[in-house]
Amino acid sequence: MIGSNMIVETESEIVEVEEGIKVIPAANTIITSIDKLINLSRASSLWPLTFGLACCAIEMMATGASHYDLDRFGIIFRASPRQADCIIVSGTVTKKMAPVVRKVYDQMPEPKYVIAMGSCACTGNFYKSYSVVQGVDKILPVDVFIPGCPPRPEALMDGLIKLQEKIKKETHRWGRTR
Amino acid sequence: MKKHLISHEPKVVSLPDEKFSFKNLLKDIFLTEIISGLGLTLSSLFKKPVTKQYPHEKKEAKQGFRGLHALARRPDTGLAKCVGCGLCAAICPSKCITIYTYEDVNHDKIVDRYELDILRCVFCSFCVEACPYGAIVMTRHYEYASYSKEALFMTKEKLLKNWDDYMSDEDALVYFKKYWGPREEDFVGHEGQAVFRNNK
Amino acid sequence: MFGGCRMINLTIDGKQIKINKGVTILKAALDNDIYIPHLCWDHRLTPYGGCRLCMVEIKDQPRLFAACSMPAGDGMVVYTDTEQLRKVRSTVVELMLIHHPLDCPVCDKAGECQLQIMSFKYGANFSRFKGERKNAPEDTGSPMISRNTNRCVLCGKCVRVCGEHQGVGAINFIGRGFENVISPAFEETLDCEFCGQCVDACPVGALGSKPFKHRARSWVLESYDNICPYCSVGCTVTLDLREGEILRSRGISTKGINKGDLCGKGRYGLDFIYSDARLKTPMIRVDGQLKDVSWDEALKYIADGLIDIKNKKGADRIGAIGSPRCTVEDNYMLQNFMRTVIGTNNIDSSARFGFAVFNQAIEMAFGIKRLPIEMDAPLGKNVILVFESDVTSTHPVWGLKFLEAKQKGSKLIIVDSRETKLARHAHMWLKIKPGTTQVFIYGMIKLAYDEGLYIKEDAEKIENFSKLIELVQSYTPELVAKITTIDKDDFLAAASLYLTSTSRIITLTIAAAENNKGFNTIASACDLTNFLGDGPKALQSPAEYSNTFGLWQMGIAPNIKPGGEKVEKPGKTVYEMLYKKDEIDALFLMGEDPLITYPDLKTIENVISGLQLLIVQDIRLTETAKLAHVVLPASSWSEKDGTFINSMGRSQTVRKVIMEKGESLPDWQILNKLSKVMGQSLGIDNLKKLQSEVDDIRIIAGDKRLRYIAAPYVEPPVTAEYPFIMVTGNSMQHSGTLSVMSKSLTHVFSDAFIQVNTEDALKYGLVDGSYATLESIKGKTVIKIRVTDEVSPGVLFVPVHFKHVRVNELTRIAEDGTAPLALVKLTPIK
Repeated sequence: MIGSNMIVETESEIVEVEEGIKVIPAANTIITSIDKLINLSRASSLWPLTFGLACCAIEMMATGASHYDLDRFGIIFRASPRQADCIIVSGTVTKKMAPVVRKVYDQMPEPKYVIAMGSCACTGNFYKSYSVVQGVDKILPVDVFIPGCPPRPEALMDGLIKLQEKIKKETHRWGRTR
Repeated sequence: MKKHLISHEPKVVSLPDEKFSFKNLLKDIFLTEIISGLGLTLSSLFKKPVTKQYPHEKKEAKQGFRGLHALARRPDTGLAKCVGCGLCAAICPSKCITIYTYEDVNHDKIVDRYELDILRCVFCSFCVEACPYGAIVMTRHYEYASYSKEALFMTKEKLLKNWDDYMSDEDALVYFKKYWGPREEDFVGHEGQAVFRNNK
Repeated sequence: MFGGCRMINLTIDGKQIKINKGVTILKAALDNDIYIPHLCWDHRLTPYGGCRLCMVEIKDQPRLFAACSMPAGDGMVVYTDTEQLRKVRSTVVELMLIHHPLDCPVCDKAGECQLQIMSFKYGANFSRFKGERKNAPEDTGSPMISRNTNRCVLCGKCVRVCGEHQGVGAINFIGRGFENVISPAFEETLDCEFCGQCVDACPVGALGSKPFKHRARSWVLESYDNICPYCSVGCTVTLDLREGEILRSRGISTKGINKGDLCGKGRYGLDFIYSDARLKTPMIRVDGQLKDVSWDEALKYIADGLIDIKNKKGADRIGAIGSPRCTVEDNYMLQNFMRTVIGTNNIDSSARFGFAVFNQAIEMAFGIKRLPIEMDAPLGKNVILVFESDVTSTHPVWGLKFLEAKQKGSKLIIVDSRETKLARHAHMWLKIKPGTTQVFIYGMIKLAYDEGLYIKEDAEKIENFSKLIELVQSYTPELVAKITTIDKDDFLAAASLYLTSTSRIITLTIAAAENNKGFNTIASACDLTNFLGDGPKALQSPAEYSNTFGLWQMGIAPNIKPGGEKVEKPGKTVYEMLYKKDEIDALFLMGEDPLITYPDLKTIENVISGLQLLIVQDIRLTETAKLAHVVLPASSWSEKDGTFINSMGRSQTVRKVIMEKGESLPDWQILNKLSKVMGQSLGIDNLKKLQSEVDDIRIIAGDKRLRYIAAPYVEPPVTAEYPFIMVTGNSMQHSGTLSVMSKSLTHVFSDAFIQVNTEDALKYGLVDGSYATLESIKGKTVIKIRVTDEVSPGVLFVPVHFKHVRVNELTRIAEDGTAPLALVKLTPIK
């Protein structure tokens, strides 16, 4: 931080290496906003809560396994909502399951994100039925939709990366609840 | 109070005694199983990693992969091949395709709107198989995650753009011909003859 | 019908069937739920045997038979589905497909195409034949019907429906061999009456409905049945909807009283509900301009206005006009509102000019309160006499029964000044001077009396006999010939044919839109039926619009209550409310547009503009609504549930199949709300309650005493200044002002015209297609000339539908019961 009583070397120039990140080479200092820092931390350790409801969960498991290896992104599946940042709803949400999904979501600490994986979670797919929730967005605030029946592991990873990108662009979200 | 009908007392199950042997004793003393397990882990260090570095290293979809939809363009006019026969909409199991047509000034059938809700789609490719003109195809594109539902509601323009984006290169056209190719050849017999299926 | 009617037994596919002798195998099978494939057969037509798909095997017979033209025999054993038959049908389909193009993806018939169904069922999956493919351009010039001869399988159904059943004959086979196509004469664009019967009959996509063309695939449509809102026949139309929008209507052979027949209005005219002119919000006039307001505001405004007038000037200063286009429930509610909430009997409708006159006459003559027509009345009659009525235009589907009767051997006599469709098919067409039907009938009574062609004892028993005989004595054939301008021999021939026959009916329509018949005309027809002892059923006069009959039954009249009971203190009629100044201060119009459809517009305009409060409740901004203080949007047909009572006295349910337009509400709901705002609830919360109240109405039968009315003929004044007699009426493609809202029907014609005889045109220098000034004592207008031989010299015919040519400005009302003919002159515009 540059205080008013600090001497600033006039020769040293400030280089903007990325949007919002500036480097002062002479002082060996990086300047950025708290937003950026916090967003970066959040995006880089996105711990999703698995919520496998149907066949999409198989693809989700495959994504977590070594061939795709989600740990590379700092994504480690958690089995408890208390430790999770993000919920991947993968599969058909029946009306009977809906209150459970909501309860688990409510147990997650802020900030929290939702990924709807697969057409069933997005809209209910061809289950235009009395028993199926027509899209998990009816009960949760979905951040990323991934259609597919089921989506490829790459598609899920693409969704996760898109979520990370979204987190990185957030401003003043920290310390606030939704 | 609800009366418990089923007792929850734990049942004692006795495991069969393991046969004593010298080999097992050694196993227990020197922890050979752990060593062999760690050995396997160690050997992986020298193997080529199996992990695909996804965003940097993209795996090509297998031939016939059913990815995002696209509407084929006619090579001569550049317009959509679709004539609006509605067979794709009819066969679609999730009824996610809606087609609106009208009669234009030349009394031809014009597809006004071709709407495909990707979020409802089963990616079964029945629409492609039903299409008599090879007008709707499935591309190899799969990175279609989106922040909003609207972005995944495909209109005719968006589907044509998909064609331009993912199916216009040489490689894709080969793939298209092989898997989602037009079936109209099946509908023409010999010159001038009306046949509804070629018996080849 | 079947003289020696005898039942026979036969076995079809192992099923024992008992049927009348003379019925074909196909009919017998279809009636007993055994399906035999067929393309060219239609229940309305004579057997043709063109497609050869209905081949059946008969036991102990060496060859195959076409089931559609083979009469069933006693003890026959028929097989409809054997290996041999499947092979034959497969070959037939294969042969049909040689020339048939494979454009199913763009053909609108796909999905309901008979050929497609047959191909799936019997067709081979390849063709052994090489053949040329037809490549004729599609005929898209006609506004209603598109004709694609490439797809035609030459079953001839359209040709036969048009010629045999519809009596038009607009299309036929043209050419030989490969060049054989169905086409209008000289391969011109189809220009017929556009009933669309051929479109429904076509088993393939050769003839298609133009407004429906390329709009939707047949399998995405949802079908609902409803009752047609146009004329009083009350045909069942099957509406095909996609996503809540009506795209087309069809007639289905098993449904309703029409059994698959529909006219152009029912088939193409139902898109009036999607007109841009529809009202969406209530409006109040502020500073001379109509402003959109909320329902609460509008109802408050009306309630305040009506209460104010009622308190200051009395309830008798408020009037209401009901509508024959509205449902029974709406009309019941209107009279209930007027009689209970307002407390007046000032309630009437356009039926005053037509149906009320008819009811007055039958009550006087037969002592009955209602005389429904019968759908099959013309069938099996020896002689049918039609007086100055274009039944095929006003009631097209009922009109078809006349053609059918004629085909089955009835003698059809048309007495008309115009060449109507029936006149073209008639055995005798007598060109009568408009408005003189009464004289013709009195001449017939005189003839019957002189020749003794009546049952003396029965005729003399009826009241007023001597009065009638005294009246008709002067109407000798010579005098009749002189007044009616019909040749004396023709008159005698027609009259004696009618008088000597054993079963006979008279048909005449009487309506607000027609001005060639008055009370006297209908009275004389009643006298004739009484005199000949045929009974009231021999007089067939249909009501005008879809619910005219129901409107009358609901007591939309100043002198009767629902069910026909007389009121003690009759209110004001339309004649008083609209044609006399300072009779009322407030007028509530429900679904009526007097400024177009009622005669003598100038007077009405005068009276209406002097009103303190004019409330118009309609589906569109009518001419009258443009002068209104408050305009309320009402839901149209198909947007509300209700009941229509057709001319046969049959209550038919009208269903809600689409959403209401904008904020519009069903008429009865508006009135219910208004009564609540006025602080006097009618105790009706839902439609069920209202319907049960309507069901409870006791319909009163009359005393059934026969009388002769014996109204003398009054000759209308003739002036040399106005040489023409102008007859108004409905044209084939339009009905009242409602159909003008339909986009499709206005494609056929949207401009008013006046029909002038060729001789007159030469005499007065009138050129076809040019414009002329039409003038009567009442006013004048400019109109397009159509020179034709369809009208007699000295007679002009004008359809009354179009608002830009206010024909009714020229007409007059005739309260004295005579035909309210308008005498006019035509001057060409140079």
